[in-house]
Amino acid sequence: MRRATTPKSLRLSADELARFARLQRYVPEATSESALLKLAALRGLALLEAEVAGAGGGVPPGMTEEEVASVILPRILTVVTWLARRGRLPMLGPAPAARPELAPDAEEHPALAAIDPTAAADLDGLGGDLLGAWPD
Amino acid sequence: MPRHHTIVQELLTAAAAGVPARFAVRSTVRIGRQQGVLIGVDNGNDALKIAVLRPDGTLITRRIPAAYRAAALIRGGASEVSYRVDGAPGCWIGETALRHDGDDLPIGPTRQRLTDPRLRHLLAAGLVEVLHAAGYAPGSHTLVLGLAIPNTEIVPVRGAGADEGERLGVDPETRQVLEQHLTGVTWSVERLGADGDGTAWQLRLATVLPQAQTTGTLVAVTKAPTGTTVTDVEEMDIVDIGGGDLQVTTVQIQPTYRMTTRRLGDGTIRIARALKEHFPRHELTDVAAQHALITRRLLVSGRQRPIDAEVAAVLNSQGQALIGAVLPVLRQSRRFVMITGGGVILLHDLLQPRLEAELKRRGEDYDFIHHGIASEINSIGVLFAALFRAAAATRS
Repeated sequence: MRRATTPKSLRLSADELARFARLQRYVPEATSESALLKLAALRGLALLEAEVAGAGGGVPPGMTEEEVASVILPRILTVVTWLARRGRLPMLGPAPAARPELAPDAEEHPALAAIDPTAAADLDGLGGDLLGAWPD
Repeated sequence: MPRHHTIVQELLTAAAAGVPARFAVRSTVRIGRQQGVLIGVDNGNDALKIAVLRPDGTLITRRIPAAYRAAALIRGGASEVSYRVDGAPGCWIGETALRHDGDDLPIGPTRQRLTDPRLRHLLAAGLVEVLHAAGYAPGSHTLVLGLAIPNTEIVPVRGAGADEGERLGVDPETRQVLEQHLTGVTWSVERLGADGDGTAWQLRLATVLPQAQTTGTLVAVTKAPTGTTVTDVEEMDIVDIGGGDLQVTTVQIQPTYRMTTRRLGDGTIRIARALKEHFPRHELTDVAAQHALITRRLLVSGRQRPIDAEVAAVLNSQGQALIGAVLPVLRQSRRFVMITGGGVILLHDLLQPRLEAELKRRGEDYDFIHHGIASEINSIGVLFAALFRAAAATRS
């Protein structure tokens, strides 16, 4: 695989840069602004390649249709649940259980305290049971 | 070392400041790949009480009278909040149901109540209501339910292993009903708001932690929100004046927790039934009478009429009789006495002089759960008990 890169300039508006900046904390693998821009470009490229493949436009040189699908699949799966929860994928049926959606202003308490490790043992003598899935 | 306050002390401090209580603990626990929202439920005979924490630790509670009514089409004016559970016809619950002559729901042991689908619908709708009130968005939610059950449904059971001895656990019949109707169940609930907008909720009850209802009060009055024990009391009698039952639970706190329970008789339902006799033409249901006792108002000929005189009359008869049943517990001097349950709202003005006449000192010999939180304290306590157990399960 060739590892050399070629600089290409790109003009982005202030709003578009702000959108990237907001995402930076959610994509820790992109350690710089330029790394994030490249990651977004490659993800977009993979999506475009899949769209073109789906429309009969063929696949990139050196790749099979299976490989194009494999690249795009994990990216699509990460948003399928989110789409289903919003009723945008009715053909898939009810949305699976997911992380709770929280109110935008409901951020976690800033100073969470540790639970006393003896607290649960105290309750054992009071006879409660745990039915169903165990927290882990 | 910071001084710890009990959960009740934190609730009262917040109430005095006029702000919602806020706790520095997690509102969710991890269940596999999901985050489960912790919820405390006290499915009382007179009302469903539910407690949940917002992610920022703010406590949200709801008390929903145990009334149910099939929703009718509102043909003019503002609509009322209704629910459809698992595709069943729409229903009104709580005060909305009461305004429309809603029906009582069954009272008694868990195994009899949960088999009624209307009660399960009330629970599903109530869960949606408290999540909505706490700011959770519609959609799919995994829930971890701390569930208060009657103390009498905690019994000695034998462990599954050959070398396991007897321990206190959930009555096998109750356990079977809980596993059949709650554990692992997913409810699809449509909430139709007063503005006519509908939202869809899917609630998966991943984990259910049934506990004696008095555990809720015990946790709230003896433990800090982090689970640290904050009391020098070693033994306590908890008098729980509930809607259906009047129970006394003797708890040993030090060196280890242990409890025994006995039922003294009916709870505030005996006062509510006496109140019904004052309004023979109204054909009040039990739940409507319980609600009228609390609100001291009744819809008569299209007008909300104050019924203070009638309530005072039944409190002076049946209320005093109920207190009379409790007095032997209050008279003993070996154990601290804590008085809790929704009945405190009704009876605290009568109880206080009776206790003073017994030469007991509040705070030293006995205490009430403040009437502002008495009804919901068990749901709050079992929420924290579930948090403590989940934290322990996570560590192990």
